[in-house]
Amino acid sequence: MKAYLLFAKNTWNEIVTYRLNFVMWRVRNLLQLLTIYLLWATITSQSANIFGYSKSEMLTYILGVSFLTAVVMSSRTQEMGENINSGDLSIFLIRPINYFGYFLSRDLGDKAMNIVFSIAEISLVYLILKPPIFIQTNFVFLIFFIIGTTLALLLNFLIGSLLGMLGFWSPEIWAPRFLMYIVLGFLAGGSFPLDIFPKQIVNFLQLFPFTYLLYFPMKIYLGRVSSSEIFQGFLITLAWILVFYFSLLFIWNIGLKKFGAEGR
Amino acid sequence: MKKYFSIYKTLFILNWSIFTGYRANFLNSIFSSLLWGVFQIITIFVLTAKTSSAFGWTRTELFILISSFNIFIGFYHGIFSNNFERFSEIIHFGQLDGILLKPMDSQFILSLNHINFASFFRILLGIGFLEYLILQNHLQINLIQIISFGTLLLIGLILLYSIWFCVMTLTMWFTKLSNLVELMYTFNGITRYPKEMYQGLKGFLFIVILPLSLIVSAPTKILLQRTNFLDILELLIFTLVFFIISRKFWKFALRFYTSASS
Repeated sequence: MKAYLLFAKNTWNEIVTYRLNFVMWRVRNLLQLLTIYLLWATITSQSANIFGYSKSEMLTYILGVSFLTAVVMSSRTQEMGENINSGDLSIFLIRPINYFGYFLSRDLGDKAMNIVFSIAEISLVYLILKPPIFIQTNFVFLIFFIIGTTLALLLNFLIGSLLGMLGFWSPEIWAPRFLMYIVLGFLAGGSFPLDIFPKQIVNFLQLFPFTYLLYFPMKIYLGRVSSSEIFQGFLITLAWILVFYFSLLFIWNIGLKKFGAEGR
Repeated sequence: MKKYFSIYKTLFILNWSIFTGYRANFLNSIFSSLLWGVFQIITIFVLTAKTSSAFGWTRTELFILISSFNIFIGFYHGIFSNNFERFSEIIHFGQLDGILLKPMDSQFILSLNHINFASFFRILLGIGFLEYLILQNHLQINLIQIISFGTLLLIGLILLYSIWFCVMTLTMWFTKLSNLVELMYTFNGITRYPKEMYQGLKGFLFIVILPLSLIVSAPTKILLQRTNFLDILELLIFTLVFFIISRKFWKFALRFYTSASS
């Protein structure tokens, strides 16, 4: 356990070692947040109610999704494919650590950094622009929001790890990951709440894991789901986690038999 | 000049061979590029579903803007992006030595060595959707407008390239700036929205964003017969200034280049 905590801590240290690089990353996140906020602030100022969301709910969704993207979607799993292609995986195989545990620790270190600075960036945007935001005061919704976010985090890690396994069969790992990034960003509700689409489309999308990464946790925070919908959502998320987990183990075992440690 | 055209023709053929050599990657890249373009259009569709206008632009005008953006960014990513992504690596690993030894301009090689053909499909998407919008809305667009639009897009391309080149030259001193490219892609994203969206920002922020906000909206206004000559003048001045700065800054930065025993 101590080793994995050390991996998380090392990831944090790694990020802050190159300070200017780190500042560039945060400036980029702030600019993205500002751009998307300005866009929606103008749209919501023209109508009291947009897609069934009030101005404060919509702006809270946009700012909240920005925070959740930093927490849930940030990942180190792209290094898995690089490890496999370069043959560096062989070093990990002889070490007395779990390969996925190692990457999960690195992910958590990365996310801890993102949480701290995302809160700072959103606070800065709030102080400068003073948007009307919705603060959830219902303790139950807050607890479910944390649970939903934790499940989303795990789900994204498994999706990222599965994409990393492509390294066993292809030297080209960046292109499918980029494609998945585009699809995920849209289908996860990263640009706008998915319930702006007709109900049939939303129901269909909710059968897939993507909506539970960003859209579902944000809906919980905004209190726009019933208890039964929350439990149903958690069950579907857990089902997908199990599907991806066992798929990952299966693909990992097949991949290891094929792995030739080329490059080492 | 003739020499550089001939070299670029050779680079074009070489890059095409590489692109078509890996078929899965070839298809994946084209699909990603098109999907990205389609999502931009869907975003505008969603944003304007309940409102007839935003930032003083009607829904149709915003669709025309996003089509123009797809055309513009298709050219930009096709010609320059892959080169800028390799910039830091070339300097950090001393590969610039080989480039400096060649009997041609180093800025030319660094900027134009790699071509991303998948992005050119996004241009087709942009042109296709733009044509559809023009026909559907019975817009009267003459040849002068099309030529002016194309010329201003080209000027905008040079402006964005110059800004990128100035910023990427900083890697001569700070070689581990991998997030610089990500930051610059965010700047690219700023060009997709009208200048009017950013006018609420004050001071330094607006000054930084102003040149970027003109790149696509100024040419698009020509198609919409809302030509703003002040915007065009600003675009021309910014392009000239940044291009000169990018050139001079690169020459200055080369004095500080220390090889990495290539």
